[in-house]
Amino acid sequence: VRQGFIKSPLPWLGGLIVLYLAIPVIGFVVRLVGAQNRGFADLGLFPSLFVSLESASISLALITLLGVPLAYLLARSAGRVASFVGLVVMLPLALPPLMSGILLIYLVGPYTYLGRLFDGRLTMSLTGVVLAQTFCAAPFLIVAARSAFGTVDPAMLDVASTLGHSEFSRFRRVALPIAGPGIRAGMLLAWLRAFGEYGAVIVLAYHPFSLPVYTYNQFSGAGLPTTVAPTALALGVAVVVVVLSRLPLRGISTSSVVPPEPVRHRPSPRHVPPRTHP
Amino acid sequence: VSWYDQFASSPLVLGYNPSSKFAQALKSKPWYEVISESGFHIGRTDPATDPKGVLADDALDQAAKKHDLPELKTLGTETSDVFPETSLVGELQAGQLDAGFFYGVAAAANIKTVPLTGTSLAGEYTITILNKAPHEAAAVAFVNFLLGKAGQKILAKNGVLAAKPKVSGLQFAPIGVEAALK
Repeated sequence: VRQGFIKSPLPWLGGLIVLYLAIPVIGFVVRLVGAQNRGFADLGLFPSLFVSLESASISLALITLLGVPLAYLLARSAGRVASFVGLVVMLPLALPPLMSGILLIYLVGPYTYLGRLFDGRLTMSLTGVVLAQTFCAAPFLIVAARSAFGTVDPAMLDVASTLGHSEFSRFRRVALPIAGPGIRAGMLLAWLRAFGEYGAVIVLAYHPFSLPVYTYNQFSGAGLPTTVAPTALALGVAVVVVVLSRLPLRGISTSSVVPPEPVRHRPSPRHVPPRTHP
Repeated sequence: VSWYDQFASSPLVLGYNPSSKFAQALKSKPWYEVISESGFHIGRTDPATDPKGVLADDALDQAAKKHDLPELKTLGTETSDVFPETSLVGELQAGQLDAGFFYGVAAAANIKTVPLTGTSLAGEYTITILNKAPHEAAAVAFVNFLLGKAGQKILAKNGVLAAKPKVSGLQFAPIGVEAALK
């Protein structure tokens, strides 16, 4: 077995990409420790970090509120309309973000119908940052949530239905708990995507500076050394989020969805037949 | 480099979006009064990295002093109106800016402009041939082309004002381009 490990090309190929992905991060950490003039004192740094944290969180809230129901419906339907809608919501994923920004500016720019309605405040504002981030990050959650809902056994939903649960109740009490971990993974991805969005944001809202725009501005204006600080902050945020994604979800796992508990109040989808079904 | 020739210039102007609600005012009133009105979004470039940004600041300062409008000077110190040079045109056309500081050549790029009355600031175009240039003959040929009739025609077509050659540095023009620099 050991010899096979050495002879097979797979570990070598895999190892190379691990090196390529890890070395820049390690190299950056070494540089961070030793560098001078890292840019931590720049007055624009933390305001831009807060703009990014705030906008990415608002974007995620919007994406989750609207995207999870859509993902559930898409997973439950197989018609032509559903597959067309599924394709449309994937488009931002396929599009270069900068082009997404161009599409959006024609919709929400100050002289567009929507733009006039909001007195031009849909761009060059936190709203603009959120609009750009939401457009680019939403597919990440929708894809993840749709495949998570896809793993829900339709029979379980049918059973819940026979127990008198409405569509919304089936969604909330059966599908959501089972799809929970997958949705959470999608939410984290979407948040990270929103946090890091540059292309669409820079078209819609160059100001107020979000962290990526600020970083590029430092890079092109003040030079490379002062981009160390924003890069370190982004790296720190990324580590925190990835660690969060590894924590077990409290109370939700595939085994706890169908707990063999006795019925106390009314029948709930957690209590599947034959025991609770008359 | 031991010499350079200033051969053309392009005045600093105010480019504006014709759909802006301030467009009419910009055409009829002095620019320095309009841009300090509330709600006016003006874009300029970073004076730390872009010469046009410096010129824009100069224009604001001059107008502030001349017309006793201290708010213009304040405009020049705000950072929320600073944009990368390369995105200024797009922001203006998308309507995110009502106006921005541009060179006169911008008029050729289909941007509506008004002159910055009361100032005479301009971007200057200079050219040189590097000492020990690896392709000196080609460089000489290019300078002669640019400063010759054909080159001047192209410059004029693109909104650049040709100027009488003004050589700085060497007392005598380098071999090959003496005639063109006269």
